[in-house]
Order: sequence, then structure tokens, then C-alpha cells
Amino acid sequence: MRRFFLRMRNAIAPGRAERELTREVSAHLRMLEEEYRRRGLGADEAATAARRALGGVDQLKDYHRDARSFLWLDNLRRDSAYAVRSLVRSPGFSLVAIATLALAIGANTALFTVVDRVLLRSVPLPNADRLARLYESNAVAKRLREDPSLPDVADWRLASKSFDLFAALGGTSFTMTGAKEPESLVGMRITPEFFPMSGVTLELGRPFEPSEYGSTANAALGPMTVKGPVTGSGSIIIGHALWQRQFGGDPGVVGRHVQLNGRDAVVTGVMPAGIWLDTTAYGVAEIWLPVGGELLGNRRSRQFKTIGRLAPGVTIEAASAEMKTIAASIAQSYPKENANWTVEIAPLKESVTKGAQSTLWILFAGGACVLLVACANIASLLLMRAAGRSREVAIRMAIGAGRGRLVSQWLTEGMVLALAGGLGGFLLALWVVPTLVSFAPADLPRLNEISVDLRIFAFCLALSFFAGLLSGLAPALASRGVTVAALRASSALSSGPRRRWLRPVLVAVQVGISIVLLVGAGLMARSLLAASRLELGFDPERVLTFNVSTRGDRYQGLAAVRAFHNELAPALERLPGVESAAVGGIPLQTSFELDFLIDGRTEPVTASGNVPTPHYFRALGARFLAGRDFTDQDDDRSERVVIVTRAFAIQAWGDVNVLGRQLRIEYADGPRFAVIGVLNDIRTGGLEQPPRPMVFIPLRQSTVATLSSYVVRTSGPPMDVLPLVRDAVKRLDPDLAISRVATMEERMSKAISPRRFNLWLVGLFSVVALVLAGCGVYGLINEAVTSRTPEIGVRVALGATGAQVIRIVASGTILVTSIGLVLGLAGSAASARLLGSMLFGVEPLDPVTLVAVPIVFVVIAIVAAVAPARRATRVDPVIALRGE
Amino acid sequence: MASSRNPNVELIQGSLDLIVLRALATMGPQHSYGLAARLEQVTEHPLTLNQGTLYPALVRLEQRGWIKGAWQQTESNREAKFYSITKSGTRALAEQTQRWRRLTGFVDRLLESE
Repeated sequence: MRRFFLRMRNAIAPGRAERELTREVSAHLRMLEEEYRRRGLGADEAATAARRALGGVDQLKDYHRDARSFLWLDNLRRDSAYAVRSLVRSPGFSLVAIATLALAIGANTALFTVVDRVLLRSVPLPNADRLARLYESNAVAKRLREDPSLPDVADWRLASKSFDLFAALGGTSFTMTGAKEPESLVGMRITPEFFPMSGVTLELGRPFEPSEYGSTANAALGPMTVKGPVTGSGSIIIGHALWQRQFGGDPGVVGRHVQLNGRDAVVTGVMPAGIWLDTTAYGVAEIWLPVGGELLGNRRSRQFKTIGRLAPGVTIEAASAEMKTIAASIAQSYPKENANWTVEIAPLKESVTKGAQSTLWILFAGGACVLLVACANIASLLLMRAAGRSREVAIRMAIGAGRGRLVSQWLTEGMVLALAGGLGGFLLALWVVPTLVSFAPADLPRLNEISVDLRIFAFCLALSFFAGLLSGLAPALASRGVTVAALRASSALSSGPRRRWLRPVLVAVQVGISIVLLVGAGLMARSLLAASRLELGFDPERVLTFNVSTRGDRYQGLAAVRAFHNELAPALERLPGVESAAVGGIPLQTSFELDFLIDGRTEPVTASGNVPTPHYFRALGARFLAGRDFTDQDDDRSERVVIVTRAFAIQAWGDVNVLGRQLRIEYADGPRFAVIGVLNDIRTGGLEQPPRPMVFIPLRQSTVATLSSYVVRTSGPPMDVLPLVRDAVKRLDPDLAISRVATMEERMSKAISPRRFNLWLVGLFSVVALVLAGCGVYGLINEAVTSRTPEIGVRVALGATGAQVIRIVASGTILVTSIGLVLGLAGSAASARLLGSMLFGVEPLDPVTLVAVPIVFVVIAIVAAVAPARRATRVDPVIALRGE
Repeated sequence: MASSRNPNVELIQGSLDLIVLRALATMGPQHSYGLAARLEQVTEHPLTLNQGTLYPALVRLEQRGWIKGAWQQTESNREAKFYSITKSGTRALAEQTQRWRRLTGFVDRLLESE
């Protein structure tokens, strides 16, 4: 043990031991010399004899080193020192190489940081492996994977043996007053299982009491209808940020009363910061309320995100089979609500990372490609250096360096470069990760928790070793081809024939990989273009959108809400700078769904519903195919009217000329509505989903629902009218807050931002790869020119033209580039299926991209080849031949 | 590990350590040259080994703590590193001698029984 440490010390810091040895050996030699002189030899002979008796001093030192330390470690140290010295001697080369590697390693480290958090550690809950998300699906109604309803979950809880608990989480939103200032907030309604499932410990206060889960006061805070008078206060737990913002972090906040939509609620606790389960369909929750108990609401109200915990040892498949049986028996008991509805189960991890998974892996693959190209580049550069240093290598071999030592020398040089690059890359990643996060689309789960830690450092280090090995391997392999005979050769550049194939292969690989990346970027650019050029069905320019939440005691019942909106919308239209304003749904957002009955059809038609005020379509810039807009006269005293979109008309009647046709709302048992207008399709659910069929009912005639989103078309920049809008709302009701303010263009931009982000990254990767591959091509042709200068001189002397000369030096490069191109296109075709999930409006084998990319690359190759080719044509035969 | 590249030392490694320890135990502190001279005396063949091969043995023994080196003046007023045997070195010498005897005795018997 002791010896191990001493050897380690001597391997790492050999200075003292080495000096001591030199001193000892020279004393030894002197004494030997004296002895020989005493025996009668002359001074010189005595010195020689002494050396002979001692043996080779250098060998002796090597044996000594071997015994006193670990030779391999000692060699490694000396190789590293040598590598550092030789790299410092050519700073240009070293800087370029290190910067290249730093870029590539940094990009990969940054991406890994994201992948690690989002994919590998996606669910930070206790027993995450046993958690599963449950959905309800109705294949007949084409309603797939919807969140379940509370009564269904309650029945599952009673019947299921596969799960040991079910937690249901529902979104809601309201305006909170009674704290610092009115604020529109998102809430999450939770069942008691939330706490055991999430393992959350409150920062302050207590979890809800069992009795609070079924209290009418709590139910009345949500949209659930409660029969009879509501007494008492609801109980709420507030989020950490809300506590800081609205209560100044008051440690005595527990027990304070606030009003949610005008109803009294008391704070019983504070959630810790950074809680994971805070995302609802309404946004990020800052208030948690109890739900369940006796009050479960409507079995058809499917909106509770449900997470189940599998009993130990139960597989997803077994649980799935059991749940389908349970669903079937519920459907029998409640045929009206649950016919055809069944249950689907997915591991929670999968459901969390569903969208992000393929995207991130593809980006990660892109990053890996860049790293490979960078390594190929460094290998190429090192090879070039190796060629320039073949004399040095030959000399080292002549004085006794073994092949193994030479190989390890090259590997060390690659390794030193890669580690320096890795260090740079890590710093780069530290700097880039926050930027990456800020640019990233918000739908990547858990992005806010991303930071760089030790695991990431370890990954970075491993990556650097890999890169070093990869880069150092080529020159190491090539150095086997060097022989002592190289000393005889006159030119430092002549290289053994055995390694000539290495650089062209490297360049071909570089070209191939960058083609794959470029094709990917091209396809993604085309997808982005397709997404941004979509027929929207509305005009997003100069449109302001926001929400005004009106729930509360003052707005009990539809009539009060309708009255409010019917007053606010015209008030907004009177503001200067506003062209038209209306309440109604906002495109690109999901709206509520309704089933419509059509005379002569047995199956109802499901469509997105919307209940706008007049001028909604003008504010949105939607186009009428036929008919007219709603007016203030379309109220509950006049004939019931609807406006439908083209998609609805086609689905319901198979025709677009449907003015005057009639429909009814299912379950509402209401009157018939006559179609008075047909609209061009509008993108609702999402930008890239095909337009849903839509039905618009005038707000004044609506008996089903109201919406609280406003659409305001302005004459100038939309945000300019925002202060006026706030004033107008305040004048009508000082307790109301407006929320979710965004221009329609911002919403559009947000909708395509994941695409833009991905394109931006892959685009960046392909540019880096292209530049590196261009350098590779340049290096190759440059070498061809340099090594064949004498030959070119002879040919020019014999009358070769410039074009012929270029053909000579370029032929090899053209061949290599073509091979790379073919490899790259083949690689693209092979990876197209992988990329398919990220594409939109473009085929994976898009002919435009597949033709454009090689052209781009050929242009780059020509640019890279111009300078060396010119040099070749200017070879002066006299000078070239004299040089030989 | 790397000592396989050095068959000379390998061959005599065990015995060399033992001889050095023994020499230091009987003769008192010695510098490397003195040890080498002693070795040549014992083997009676001055060229059987390079004097340099002593050095790995010395560093090995020193790292094990069996011998200790210190810079001192020789009789002829020269500087030299004098090695002396330590307490644990003395113990080790006894053990190693035992082991050596057993081994050689075993090998002898084997060879004689042929």
C-alpha cells in the first residue's frame, strides 16, 4: 500500500526522485572511475570502463523509474508533457482544433443536459416506475385519450385491484381578490391521494382534512353545481410564488381569508417551491383545492388528469386488462354517459415525455453527428501534422522508441486536445444551457429545472475521452507505416503509401455526415415554411387577445355573464385605435366540444363550439363563404341562428351551400338553429392539426356556455391599446383582472416555436458540420497540390494547360466528395423514417431538399478547392523542378 | 508489469533483494558502489551483472521501508548516498532468508530426486 502511494507520487511528480538518482549515479560513476584509475587505466579509459561496468545510464534510469513508479503512468505524464509542448509550438493548429472540439463537445453536453432531465429523469415522484396515467377513450365518437371524469375514477377506486391508489387532478381558474391586488389565477383541484402519490411535504400549514374534500364550499369554488345554499369557506393551499407575490411571504398566512370569484376561501397551507405536479389544462397552477368526497360532479365531465399507482408487481398489461373489464361494467350501469367508453393506460414517464422524446433524440443524434465530423477533422489535421513530422518520428524510432510508445504518443496528443476542448466545451455548455432553455419551446417538460451538475461533467469528460481516442487513432494508425527509412527520403512530406487512404476516407465520412445533417435541416426548414404558410382561416396581424374571467357571485348564471360581455365588447369597440372587438374563442386553442343533431342523420356530428358576440369574425379576419355575421338583433327573442365552418357543413350535409339548414344541440333539448353563414375553415385545436368542424352560436342566444377570451382588432400596434383595455374593464368591474394577454402573432409564433427551435439547432449543427467538411475538402486538395507540385511542374513544362492541371489535382477530391455525397444521401434516406415524426407538410424523401442539398455541398466543395487549385495552376515549372 | 521487458533483473530479483539486505545487515551502511563491489566479490564474476541493476532493487527496498538512504561523506570525502537496514528490514531479512532456504531446499530435493 505504502509502496503504491510512493510509486504514484513518483509517477506524477518525478522531479525530486529523478534529481536524486542523477546525483547518486554520478557519485557511483566517479567511484568506479577512481577504482579503474587505481588499477592503472587512463582518465578516458577509466570513464569508459566505469560506464560499461554500470551499464547504460539511460536504461538504468528507465529500470529505476519502472521500480520506483508506474512506468505507464510515467510515460503518460511524459507523453502529455511532450504533447502539450508540441501543441504549444503550433498555437494556430492547436487553437483551431481545441475550438472545434469545444464547440462539438459543448453542444453535445448542453443537449445531454436537456435529454438527461427531460427524458431520463422525467418523473421526480416516489415510486415513479409504478405510476401510470389513465385515459378514457371512445373509439365510436372518435374521442381518444381524454382525461377521465371524477365519478368514473371513484368507481375505479372501488373496483380495481391492480392499482393501490388513484389521484385525480383537475384544472380550474378564477380571479383572486382580498390579497394585495386582484389577480387571475389557475387552480388545481386534487383528490386526497395527491399527497401520498406526490410525496409533497407542505412548506407551511397542513394538507386538507378528509371532510374538506366533499365540502359544498369547496365544490362551489369550482364550476361544479351545488344544490342548495353554500355555507362556510373553502380551503385552499397556495403555491410558494403566489405566497411571496400576494402575501409578501407572510409566515402567518395560514388562516387568512381571500375571495376566489367572490367566494370566501381560507388558506390552510403553502406548497413548496418547484413542485412538479403543477401543470393543468388551464396553465400552471398556483392554488390547490380539495375535490371529491361526496361531490363528484358529472360523469360526462371528462377533465381530471388521473394518475394511478400500480400495486407492487402488477404490470401495465395486467392493469390494462382489468381496467377494461371495469370500464365495461361501468358502461353497462351508465349507458347514457359511458357507452363505448373504455380505459387506456400509459406509464407516467411515457406520457410526460411523449412529445419531447423523438425530438430530443433526433437533436441528440444531430449533436453526435457534429462531434463525429469534428473528430474526423481533428484526426485529419493530426494526420497532416503526422506527415510533417515523419522525420521526427523516424528519428525517435532510430534512437529506440518502440512502436507502442509512438502510437501512445499520438493518442496522447489527441487526448490532450480533446480534454482541452472538453474543458472549453463544458464551460460553453454552462453558458449555453440557460440560453437553450430560454429559447426552447415551453412544452418541453421540466425545462425550468435544468442545470448543469456533476453527472453532466462526467458525461462531458467521457465524451472528451471518446473524442480524443477517435481523433488520435488515425495518426496513431498511420504512424505504424513510418519506418526508419523515412530518414533517407529527402522531403519531409513524403509519407508511406500505407496511410494514404486514411484522409480521403475521413473526408468522405465528413461529407456524408454533413449531408445527412443538411438534409435534416432542409426538411425541417421546409416543414417550418409549410407550417407558417398554412391557410389559417383568419388574419393574425394587428390582433390583441386576452381573457376576462367573470366567475363569482356577481356573475351567477349565464344571464349575468352574458350581460357583462355584451356590455364590455361594445365598450372596447368604442376605444380609440380599436377597429372591432368581440368575445369568443381564440384560434389555435382548444375550445369546448358539442354534439349536434342533424335531421336525417342518426349519428350526431361532434364539433368545436363557440359563442361569440357580433363582429367576432371581423375582429378575427375570418372569411365568409356565404351568409352574414351575427347582429345584436340575434337574441333570445328572435329566431335561433348559427354560423358553421366549411368542414362542419361538409361533414353534416356533404355540401357547402347550407344556408337555412337546421341543427340541434344534443342533450340541450333546445330549439332548432338555422344556418345563416358559412365560414372558411379556421385552425382551432393546433396550428398543425387539420381544421376541426366548428359551430358558432351568438352569445345572446347561448344556453350552453360562455367564453371569456377577447379578440380585438386594432388599427395600430395591438399592445398600444392594452392600457385603455385595462381601464375599460376596471370601469365595468374593479374586481376583475385581465389575463393571458398576447397578440395573435405572438400566439402564432409560439405555436411554431418548437419547430423554429429545432430548425435553429439542427441548422446550426449542419452549418458547423459543413464548415468542417469544407475544411476537410480544402485540406485534401491542398495536400494533393503540395505533394504533386514537382509532377505538376513537369507537366506544365511539357505544355499542360491550367484546366488539365486542375483536373489532375482535383480528380481525387471530386471522387472523395462524390462518394461522401452518395453515402450522405443514402444515410438521409435511411434516417428519413426517424425524422418523419418531426416533419410537417413535406415528405421525408422531399425531392427539392434531396436535390438542393448536394448542390449546396458541391458549391462549398468548389469554394474550398478554389485557392489550392489556383496555386496548382500557378506552379512555375522552373522553381518546382529545382525544389525536387 | 513493465519489468517483463527486463529479463535480467527479473531473473535475480528475489535473490538480489536478499543479497542487498544481507550485505547491509552484516557490513553496516553502504553506498551503491560499495554494495556493487561487495556483490562482485560474492559472485566472483565481475561481469555477471551491470552494477546499474542494483538501483531498481534499492528503490524497491527503500519504498518498502526495509532500507533507508541518507547522503553522507565517504572516506575519500566524496558525497554518496549511504543505505542502512531498518528494523523492519531486519525482520524482513529473517523472513526472506527462511523463505529462500525453504525454496532452495525444495528445489534441491527436486533436482536431486531426478
